[in-house]
Amino acid sequence: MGKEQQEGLVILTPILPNQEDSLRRLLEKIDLELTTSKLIPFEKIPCVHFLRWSILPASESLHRSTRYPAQLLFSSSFDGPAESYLKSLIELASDTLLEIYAHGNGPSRSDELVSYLLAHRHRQNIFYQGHPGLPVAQILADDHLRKTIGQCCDHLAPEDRNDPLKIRQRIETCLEENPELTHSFPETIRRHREPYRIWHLILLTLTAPFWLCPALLVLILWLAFIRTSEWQDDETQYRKMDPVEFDPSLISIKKQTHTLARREDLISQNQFTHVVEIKPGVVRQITLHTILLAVNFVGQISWARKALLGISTLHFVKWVIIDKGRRLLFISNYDGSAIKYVSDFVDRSRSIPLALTAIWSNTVGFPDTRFLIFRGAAHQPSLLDFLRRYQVPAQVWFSAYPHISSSNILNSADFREGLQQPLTPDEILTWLKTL
Amino acid sequence: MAQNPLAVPTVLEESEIQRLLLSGYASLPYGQIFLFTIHDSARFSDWLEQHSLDLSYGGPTAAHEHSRLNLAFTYAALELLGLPSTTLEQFPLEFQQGPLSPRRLRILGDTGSSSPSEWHWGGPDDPEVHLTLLLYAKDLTILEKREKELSFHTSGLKLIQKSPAHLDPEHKDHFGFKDGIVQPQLRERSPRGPAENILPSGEFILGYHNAREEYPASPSVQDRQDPDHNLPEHRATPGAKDFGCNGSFLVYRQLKQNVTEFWDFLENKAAELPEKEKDATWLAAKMVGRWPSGAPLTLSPDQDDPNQLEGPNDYFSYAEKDPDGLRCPFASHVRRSNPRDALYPNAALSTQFTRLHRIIRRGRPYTLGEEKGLNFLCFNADIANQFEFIQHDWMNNPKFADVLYDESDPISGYQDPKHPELTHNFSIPGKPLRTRVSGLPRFVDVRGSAYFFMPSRKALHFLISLQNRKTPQSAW
Ligand code: HEM
Repeated sequence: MGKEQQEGLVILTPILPNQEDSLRRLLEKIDLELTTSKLIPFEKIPCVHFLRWSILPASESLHRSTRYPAQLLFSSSFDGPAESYLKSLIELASDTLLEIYAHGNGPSRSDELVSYLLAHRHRQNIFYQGHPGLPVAQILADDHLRKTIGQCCDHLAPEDRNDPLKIRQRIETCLEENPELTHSFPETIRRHREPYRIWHLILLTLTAPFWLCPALLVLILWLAFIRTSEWQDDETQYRKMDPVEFDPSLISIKKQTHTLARREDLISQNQFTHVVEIKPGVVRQITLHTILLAVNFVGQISWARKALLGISTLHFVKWVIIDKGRRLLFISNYDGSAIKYVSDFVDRSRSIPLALTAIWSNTVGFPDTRFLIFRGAAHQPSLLDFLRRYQVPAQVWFSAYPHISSSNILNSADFREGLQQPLTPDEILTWLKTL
Repeated sequence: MAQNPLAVPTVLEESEIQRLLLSGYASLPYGQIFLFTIHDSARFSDWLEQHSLDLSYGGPTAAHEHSRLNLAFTYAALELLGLPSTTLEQFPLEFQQGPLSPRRLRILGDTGSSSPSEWHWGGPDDPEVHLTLLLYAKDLTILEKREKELSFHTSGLKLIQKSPAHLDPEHKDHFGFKDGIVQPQLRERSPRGPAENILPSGEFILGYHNAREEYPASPSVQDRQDPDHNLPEHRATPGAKDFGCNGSFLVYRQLKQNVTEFWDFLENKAAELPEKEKDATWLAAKMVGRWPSGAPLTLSPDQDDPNQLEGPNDYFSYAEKDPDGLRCPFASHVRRSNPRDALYPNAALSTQFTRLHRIIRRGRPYTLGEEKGLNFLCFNADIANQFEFIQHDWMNNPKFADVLYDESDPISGYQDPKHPELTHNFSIPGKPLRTRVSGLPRFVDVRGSAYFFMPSRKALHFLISLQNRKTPQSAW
């Protein structure tokens, strides 16, 4: 089993004027044939976890005299490295990929596609993984392993069912009878995460006396600025300039929700693609960059098993600053319905709403916020409205394991890990809960 | 909402609220649920005006103590009766669309043997459902007498279906389990029992604060559209009139129970179980989460014990008593339909969250010829976040509570018609080993489904006045 890191790619390419409709038709056709596709044989792409194409339609800026042209978004999460992933994708479907990118300024030869795509790659400001360290093949193998062993246990003799040691023995026999199951066992058992450059933290702590005072001063000035700007935002500009004028009964959002929801809940996973303008001004830019950096950092180090701060229904989440710092893109793959998803963010954890507010309060149309992190996302209905309002459909969306949830993935990996090491009777009892 | 001049009400205006919302009419065991199409809205309005005094509202009422009558309208009916379009469009999407939209059929699991082509009413080829009348009485004679007095032949209505809704003497459903035990208590109406089960009325009745301490969305009417001043001030939108206030959304689903199939299946599976003392009743109790007497498995894990039933407010904690589902399985009907404090690892957050997804149940069993089932009725202020959320995100969700893999609610969940292996399992946690039952068919099938709005007394008079004025809508 490979030891590649999970990677993410976000690629934005232009769409030629008048080509948007034909591109949409092509993408929708690909999506219709997702499981039987001859255009792109998704099932054969190695290493892919999730993949999507989404057309970001042209739109007017709300506070600048700019117009954002239509663009094609390709986003994927896979087992790295990016270049070899793209190569294998192109090998399997070069004609279709050329056809897709011919709607923009794509190359005419397939051997130029990789460099074309990489040239349009965007840095992911936040890349959160719900089950890091687990390659696709491992995820599928763990699921199969747990199922097969489960079936063995269903046939246990009644007198053996009450003895953890006998159960363990029976399971080991079952493993011997199905040797192919162990082929998928990785060499290292535990999925340790690299300590995130621990010496950075040490250095920071040691030098604290030197930067703490100036930092506090900056912090106070900055909070004062943010608060003033929030205070002005409440009353002014953006909403009134919004073509979908702010209406208390949210009828326009209802319609948008209706259109989007038609493509949701087809399987037990869903996707979100969301693009919104960043508020103008240097301070907002710096703030947003800093927050994204901090959240990414915290997200990585605090990734304790089964709990991104309490949420276990996420597979991959990305935030990407696009359009030369003018818009913020949000991409995610999650389990369950959209209502439940947003509730999970807001009602299930106390820290997540703060982080979301810190990020999105720097964008236009976000619910009223206090001091960067308060209110805002803490109110589920307003957050849902904000997300729905700036959500765009994904014309193509593929999942390599549509029927396995993020918590299933983690639990099955726990089960396999328990099988890979000797356990005491007490540990066996705990381990059997994962079956 | 800071500029809202109206104080948040702390007491229910009971005399405005249709009584069924406040009471399950346990003293009136006989019932009849009528479904109608309105074919002549002018005649219907006249009829409604004549009979408006027959309707039952909350508070002390002398008339008709031996019987009660309530009614509710679908979106199509409100349109037909001439509710202004500016009001209609404020209704939530799910109420506007009704249960037949493809997405709704998908999320509620109305597919396969439960698809609309199998329904007795409410399907795409059936007459449009407009109105439900719910009649309850002390005995059958009174029930029949009241039905005659309602003289439907002059009503402008056309009957679609009439279904009995009689309570079993022991309040049992057709599978043999006591039903209707847990009901949320309303904060604004001298609530009893533990705090976790006391909910702000706005979760169920428009015009009051809900669990987020804000008003649930309620359709408004412009001042000039209500010249007779039938409607109260809108509590959340100053200057407007409130059509929704003291009303509620009513979900009605006719759920057929495949009783013989249910017990045959359980007998067969119980025979395969390694432990001989575990019989079909044990298996059924694990699926429901309560014993036939109603005693919860969480309090009485090993055998039925009616003494463990503490009445309407037995509000035990799963997190404390049964974190691993060893007593009451995660996948059981009651744990799924109200996971209480055990949906997430954090019990406090869990309770806070599940409080946003409660319903008031008013269902009663029916027998129609050979068919047995449950006339499932429930009230909520927000169908998408309450009834639909429970059905879709909890009951039909094969990944429920982040612990399950491939099982839906064994009682009222859906089964994936194309890939049954994704849903048709039932796991009973056990120490050291879980027991797993597979191949569950659907024991409950949908035979009709509609979303209604149950108006307040004032909103009903406003609706009648719309017809009486006979003002064409375009004049507004
Ligand atoms: C024919 C189908 C159904 C049957 C036979 C059935 C049966 C039962 C039984 C026996 C109970 C336990 C007694 C009680 O707590 O009242 C119960 C509880 C409950 N059921 Fe159902 N039910 C059915 C459908 C539904 C549906 C469709 C829903 C909602 C979507 C639902 C929601 C609930 C709720 C919320 C509870 C209370 C759980 C609690 O608070 O502890 N049921 N049901």
